[in-house]
Amino acid sequence: MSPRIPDKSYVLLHTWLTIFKPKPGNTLLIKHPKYGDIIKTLAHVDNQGFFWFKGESEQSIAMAEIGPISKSQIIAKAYFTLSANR
Amino acid sequence: MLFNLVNKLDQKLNFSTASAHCDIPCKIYDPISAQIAVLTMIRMVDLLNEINEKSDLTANDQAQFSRLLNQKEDHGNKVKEEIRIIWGDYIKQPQLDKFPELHELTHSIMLATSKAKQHIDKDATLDLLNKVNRFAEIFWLTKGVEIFTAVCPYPPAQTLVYPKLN
Repeated sequence: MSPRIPDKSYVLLHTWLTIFKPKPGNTLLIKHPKYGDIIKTLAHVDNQGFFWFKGESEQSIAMAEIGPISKSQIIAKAYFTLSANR
Repeated sequence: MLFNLVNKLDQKLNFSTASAHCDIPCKIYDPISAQIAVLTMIRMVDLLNEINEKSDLTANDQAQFSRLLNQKEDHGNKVKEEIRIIWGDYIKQPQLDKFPELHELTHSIMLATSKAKQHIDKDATLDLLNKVNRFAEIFWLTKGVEIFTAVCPYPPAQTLVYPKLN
């Protein structure tokens, strides 16, 4: 999810932080049925309460491809990233 | 230094991994696959019409009719898939700002493909080709590549939008 999380980064995650309703802009670890455990940025929450995620790179897959994510699929919230060039 | 420390810890404790980049950034996009799929649909319609003009159909004619129809269907699905991939993966806000018609054009291609699949109708396939050619034109212009039009040198001899790459 370059540039915020470059390849091979270490990301510190908090599972209990997800008890609070995630806000757009939060970086979250989600369990995706197709892509497995992935880290994405929350773009918006729709009227049905589903969460829509986006990547931050030009090459990221489209939001529609990730699809709607339910609250139970959100595993953790990222709050610190450590990359090799930092 | 902190990274190296965590890295050493990782080697010992084997941290869980998560993907943050769930698509392969190959950047290989080209509307020619969609354009050729439409040409195939047009060609299939021509061949289907040839059979349709016969008064008596042999078993071979009927088998051929079925094969041609299947190919028309398959290539219709291919048009949709190829256009959707470019629209969903390549088209981003800068391209939309430059060509606001892109969403509507993409949707109209989906509808026109369905129509071309539902009927043996040359006009429907030609209308689809016009739309896909416009999509190809926009695609190349967003890449700063000039385009030209030419009649493809094989059946069904229709006009295609090509990139001027030299």
